[in-house]
Amino acid sequence: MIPPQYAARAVELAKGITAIAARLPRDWPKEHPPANPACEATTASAKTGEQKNG
Amino acid sequence: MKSALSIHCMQSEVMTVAGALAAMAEGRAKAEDILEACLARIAALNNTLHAVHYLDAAGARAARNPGPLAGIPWGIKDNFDVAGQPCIANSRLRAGRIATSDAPIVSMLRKTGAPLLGKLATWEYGTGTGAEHFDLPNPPARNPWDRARFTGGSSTGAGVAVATGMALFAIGSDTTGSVRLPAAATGCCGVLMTPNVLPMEGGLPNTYSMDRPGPITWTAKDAALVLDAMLGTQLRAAGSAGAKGLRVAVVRDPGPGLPAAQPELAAAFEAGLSVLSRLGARLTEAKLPWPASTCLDAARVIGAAESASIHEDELRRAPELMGAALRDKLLAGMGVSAVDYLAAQRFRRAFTTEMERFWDAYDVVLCFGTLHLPPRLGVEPESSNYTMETMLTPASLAGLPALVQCNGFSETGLPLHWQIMTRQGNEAAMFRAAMAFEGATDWRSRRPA
Repeated sequence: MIPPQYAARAVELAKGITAIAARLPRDWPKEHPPANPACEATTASAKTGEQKNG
Repeated sequence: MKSALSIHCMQSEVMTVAGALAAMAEGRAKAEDILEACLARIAALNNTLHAVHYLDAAGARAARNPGPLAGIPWGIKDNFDVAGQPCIANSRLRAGRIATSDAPIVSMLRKTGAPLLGKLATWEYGTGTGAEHFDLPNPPARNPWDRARFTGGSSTGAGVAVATGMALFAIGSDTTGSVRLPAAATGCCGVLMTPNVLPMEGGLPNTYSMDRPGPITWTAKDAALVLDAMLGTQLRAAGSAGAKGLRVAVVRDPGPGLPAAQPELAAAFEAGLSVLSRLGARLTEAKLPWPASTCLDAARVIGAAESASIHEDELRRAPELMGAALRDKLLAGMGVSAVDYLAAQRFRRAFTTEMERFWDAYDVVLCFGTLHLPPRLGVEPESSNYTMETMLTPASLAGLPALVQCNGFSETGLPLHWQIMTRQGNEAAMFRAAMAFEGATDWRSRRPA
């Protein structure tokens, strides 16, 4: 919910962020999922907690 | 009581973690001398630099825990909880808030014996748009290399405190550059580890999916020492192995949608490559699988939407208490459609997967951090460009370890920098490059006047 006193500013800023989003690639295969919105461990070493830090 | 002379004589030697530990081990300095020197610098400089928002000198003097970092004073960005201390995050929305317990990262550092000085400057809630509006409860921190210039944000006090020796290391948090930009702007070393290696719990969130805490130190060696003490890793030993044979992807070109790096940054980058080449690193010109500008677009959409979700209730209840930077970011985030948010997260998945393959050929990526020199504070679009026109977001999106270090100075005396990234879990390679470069150059001998 946008406070009414900032509605005009919100419209202006929404145009800006929508323009940024419009530059993103969209032509993924239908089965291509979004990233999980959490800091993911994406490598096997990170998933298992193994570190190569000596 | 320490004389001003004795504090002065100690300064250059004990303004690093490694130097202070060595001085204490060899009996040339005591922990209380090092702490009092930090406090003296805070007393002398903080009225103009505004790096420390809350000082707990008594608590630091009372700290007597043994440990690998005993006697090494440090500070933490004021968006992490420290029991009994304010956690205001430079926001009127949090006036009077006192934390009742330590964030896990604070607990980890207390166990190392390092005395905590207090809370360091931040943008409101550790976020913003890059613009400086001079409308937060505390005045903005000032860059010690040129007080008319920006410190990098959002951990605005962390780099200042370390560069000036107010603290020997600091902990900040980074979503799309908030540890790395302050390190770049103040000539320090800023490090992001693999996600979840350092805990973000007990820190006020900026986003759900990109926030990471990280140390800021004067040297890469100091960062390794601090991380080893916290985590039990052997990064200092691993980093001492040198750069010989290291497979370095050199990414000079930020790609379409971003400007070229400013000439002095580019020149320092090339000079640094020559150093690494002489040290035996195997340099190969490379490109990231997607332009940094696409990563930036995705990070902006994700960051705005997630911040708006986190702060939605405050935006509804008390928008007038917010600074303009936070409010603008949230208002923009409220305008992100669910489909656009998911488009950004779908791109993130693809980019992260492609970066996994990238590491088959390389150990580290060497690229720019921001593409600009530290800008004049509050001068637009300089300040926003400094924060937004960067190569920092690929690591943010893919959760890559990353390190920014100083690699020279401009003609006007401003610090220059580059960024090293690596695969998750392979921080040792990143430290090999950074520590080898540091050991082969003398950029660490210069401090702000």
